[in-house]
Amino acid sequence: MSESGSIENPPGDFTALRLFILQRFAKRGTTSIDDRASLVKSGLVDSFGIVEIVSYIESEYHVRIADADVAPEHFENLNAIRALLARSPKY
Amino acid sequence: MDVLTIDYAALVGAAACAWWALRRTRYSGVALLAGGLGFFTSPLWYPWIHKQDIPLVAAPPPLPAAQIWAPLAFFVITLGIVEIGRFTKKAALPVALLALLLIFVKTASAPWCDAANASTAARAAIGFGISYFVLRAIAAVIEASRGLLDGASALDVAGFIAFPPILSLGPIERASAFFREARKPFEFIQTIGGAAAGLCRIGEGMFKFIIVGEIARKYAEPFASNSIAFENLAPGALLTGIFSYSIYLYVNFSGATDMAIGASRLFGIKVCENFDIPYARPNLTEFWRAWHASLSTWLRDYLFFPIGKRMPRSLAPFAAPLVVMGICGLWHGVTQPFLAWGILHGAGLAAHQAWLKLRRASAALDTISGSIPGRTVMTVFTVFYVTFTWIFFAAPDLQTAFVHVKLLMLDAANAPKLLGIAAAAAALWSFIPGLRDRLRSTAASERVTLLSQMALHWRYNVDLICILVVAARFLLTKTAPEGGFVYNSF
Repeated sequence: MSESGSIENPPGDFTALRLFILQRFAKRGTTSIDDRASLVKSGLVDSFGIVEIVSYIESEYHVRIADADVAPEHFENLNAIRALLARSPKY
Repeated sequence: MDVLTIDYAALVGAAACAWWALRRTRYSGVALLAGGLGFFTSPLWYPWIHKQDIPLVAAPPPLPAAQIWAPLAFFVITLGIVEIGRFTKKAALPVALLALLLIFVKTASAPWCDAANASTAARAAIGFGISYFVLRAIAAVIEASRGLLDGASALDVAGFIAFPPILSLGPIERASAFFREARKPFEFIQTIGGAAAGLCRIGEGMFKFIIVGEIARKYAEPFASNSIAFENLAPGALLTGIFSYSIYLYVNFSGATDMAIGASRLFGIKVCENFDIPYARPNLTEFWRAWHASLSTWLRDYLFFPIGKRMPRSLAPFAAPLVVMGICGLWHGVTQPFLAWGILHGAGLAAHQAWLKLRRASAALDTISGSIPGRTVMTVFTVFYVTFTWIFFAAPDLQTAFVHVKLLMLDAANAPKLLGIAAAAAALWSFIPGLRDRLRSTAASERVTLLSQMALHWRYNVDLICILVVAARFLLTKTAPEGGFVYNSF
């Protein structure tokens, strides 16, 4: 699976995170994730997964996710995560 | 006052009437707060009321002063700390104070604590549900600091914490969700239907708590009372005891929760669900989503997420559940067996994460695990593991727990047939997804609320039979149920 070819949406700053979620949480054989596809409610990402995504975002994007923002609704789909990333302060 | 008595039902009923009378005013919180204060002051007025013999309710013995005043004092302190948090909109100090209050109560009530007065006071407070209302208070302070309770007054928040149906037995409702329910527009048909559904839910809970609970308790008693020893171990006695205890805990707690959820509907308020068929789950992660869900969600939001995100990414999936479930164990009581029980669950959750990694790495393992036989085997394993951990939950000390573990090995060898029956029953249960899903869908809070629909809904007819069976039991035996609410001692 090539990094950009496997993604439906155009590559950008968000590509690495999209790939991380795809490789780490998607069901076997899945090659793409829609921005609005459910992650938490569908069961793909659980509480452990949320912590893992937060750690990944903080280390890769050099942002600080506030404790108040670590809530399932902010990880429900890629759009929600993108919004969280955009509003979190850089360090 | 025990929460599962006619007296408490009368108190909740009076609070519900006052709530409906004041609901559209800014003083609606008074009704809930008065109900809560009525409960906390009950050691003062309860003996006076029970000067006369009342059927099914035994007259309480005289109480020491610490037992009379401590629950009320702890409740008022909790309300005061919450108000500080609400006023300052800063969570750190009030949360620390509330946590200290809970730690004090838990350590003072531990069997090893030799401070007699503190111990009496702490145990009285635990009997009045401090473990639950302090967790609700902590969540309320955090929500207030995040601006989620901006429209609520001090009286509203105090009324929420004192909300009588869930005051001392959960579920651990969040303030923001509670106010959303409390402020929704009044609709007569929905409200009447909701109240009728609530009464049915209370009947269902009573059936679980009293009828099933009494049967399960009878078989669980030799194990729960720790009277089984090497010298008097009849083949199968311990296995029967442990599995019965497992069922007993479930029907006792979920039955009491059903009653609390049903009573909340009498106020027109739907509180969160606490159980969702937990013994039909293929792994421990799903088990904790279905067992005492309001506590596990609380632990997830306010402990697991903050602790996990501060740990190295590779360490968090394994260390964070151990820490959080260890704390969960200590929440039940500051003893070694409860800590061991929590760590066993934390280790189980960590092991499940490792298992998921293996599944992702192996296509064959993933296919087998996802198949119906694979899920059935995993469900049986999960039921057995959870049941095994109850040994530590029930034991007064680690020594007794280890003796029971040894006895369990011996008993499993002596009574393989019984072990096989238990495994087959668990497998059959998890193998009927249709029945399980049907029960789950109707166990949820979203049921029909129109009376005309309810009369035709099978679940409400089952509830009606439950109520009749409970009524027949009281009429025939004329005795109060034995055992009480197990979780009121944590």
